[in-house]
Amino acid sequence: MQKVWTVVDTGLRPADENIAIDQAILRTTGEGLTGPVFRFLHFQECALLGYHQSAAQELDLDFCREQGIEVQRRMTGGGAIIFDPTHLGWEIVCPRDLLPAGDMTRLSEEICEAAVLGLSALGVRAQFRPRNDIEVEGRKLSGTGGILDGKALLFQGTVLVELDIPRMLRVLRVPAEKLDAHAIASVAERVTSLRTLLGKTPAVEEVQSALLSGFREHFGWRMDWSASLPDAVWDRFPEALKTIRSAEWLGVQDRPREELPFRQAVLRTPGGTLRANILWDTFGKRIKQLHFSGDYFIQPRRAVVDLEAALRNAHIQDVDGVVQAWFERGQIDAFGLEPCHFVQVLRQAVA
Amino acid sequence: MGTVRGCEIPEDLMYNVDNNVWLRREDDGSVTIGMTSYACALAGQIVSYTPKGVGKDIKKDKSAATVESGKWVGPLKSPVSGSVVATNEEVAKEPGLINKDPYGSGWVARLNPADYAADATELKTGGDALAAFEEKMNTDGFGGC
Repeated sequence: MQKVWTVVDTGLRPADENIAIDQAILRTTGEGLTGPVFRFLHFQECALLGYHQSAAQELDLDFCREQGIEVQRRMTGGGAIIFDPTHLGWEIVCPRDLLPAGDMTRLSEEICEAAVLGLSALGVRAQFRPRNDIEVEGRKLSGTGGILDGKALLFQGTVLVELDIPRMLRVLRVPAEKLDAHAIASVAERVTSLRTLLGKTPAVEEVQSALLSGFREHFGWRMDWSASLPDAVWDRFPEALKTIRSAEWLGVQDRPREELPFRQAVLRTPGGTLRANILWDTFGKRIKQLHFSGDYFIQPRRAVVDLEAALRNAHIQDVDGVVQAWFERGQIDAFGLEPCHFVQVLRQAVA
Repeated sequence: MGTVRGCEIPEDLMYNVDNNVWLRREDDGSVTIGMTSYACALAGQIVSYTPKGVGKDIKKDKSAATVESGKWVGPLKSPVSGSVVATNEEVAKEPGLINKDPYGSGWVARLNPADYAADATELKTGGDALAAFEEKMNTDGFGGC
């Protein structure tokens, strides 16, 4: 018999409570005490690190302290994000075998395709972008990440209903020379919100309903709203909250800021000036984040954003292969810009 | 070297097949543990590695380290109880080593086992391990490495 999903909205909460609920549900799922859950999350303003990130490296901690922005760590992977009450979080928690078989890449795609279907019902042209983003015409609308703990799985995503880019730039370290109008415009080319896309802020209930319809249609799930999470989850919640509030949880990864400097390089090419701003992991020799800019012309327009996504976390030794694959796959007209120029400007930046 | 659906599964190692983890007993009595090539194929390119620190006590089937690939976090569950005696600095610098050489330089943790004899009875090796992985891959619907 098909399992029925419990759909629940746990309301506006501080980040530590939301993460503790994640931990409690994952545990009760692993122990077979609870059935599959689809949860909507709302956060008081906070900055959320990916599980393996260091707060000192990713955030302006002084600004967060000044502004009373809570800093927390997710159980799931991916990059740091800001979350405020205008954003909507969603997640599924279930035994791994309730989802289609395949590797983790395939699984992400399956889940994101369900969310894409739902968001499209709002009238936006959403699509999945590897590895785990949902985008509209090259601009990220939703980021996702997951954890697989034994046989229990939690996969979550955000929906940017509205977005305050200047505030985001104050909280998160992004590869920009300075936080000016240029930086804001550059981020606006890469991230978007439902409000920007629709010209109005949709009601939360409308977004929730659309997402659920996507999951129902894609997976054929039966999903019923419930007023609360199962009791077994709340039984585990106090212990989980204690763990999440401990200094050890936030300090899982405490690499210093100096190991992740900004680096920049400019290259003059026959196709125009190419600038690379990057956050460079000197310990692992990896590109953690990057923005390309300049006066070049490239088609399709989204090609550069796709390249940035493909290069995130790439080891410097591997950038040639990544750039070449992007160029070949993307049917790109770069009008004088060659793959070697992208590689060269990156190597220059980290030299 | 044993192979199951294209995934290398060395027959001289011990395995917890459910958790997709290998173990090797060292001459000094410590054990080295890591991810199988099958686990690596499921995970994809690993980009982060955070081990439990040296001196930490780990219970059997609890996390000795976490890894991340494609925004998925996954704990590596220790097949035996014990205390951590070493973590892999090379993997910390280059987590992709786990994919490149899962049974060699991509090892994940070294432990001093608390009761190896008791915990090892639950592990599989040789032909038994190959058969168990074949069955697991079948259940998981896995096509091959």
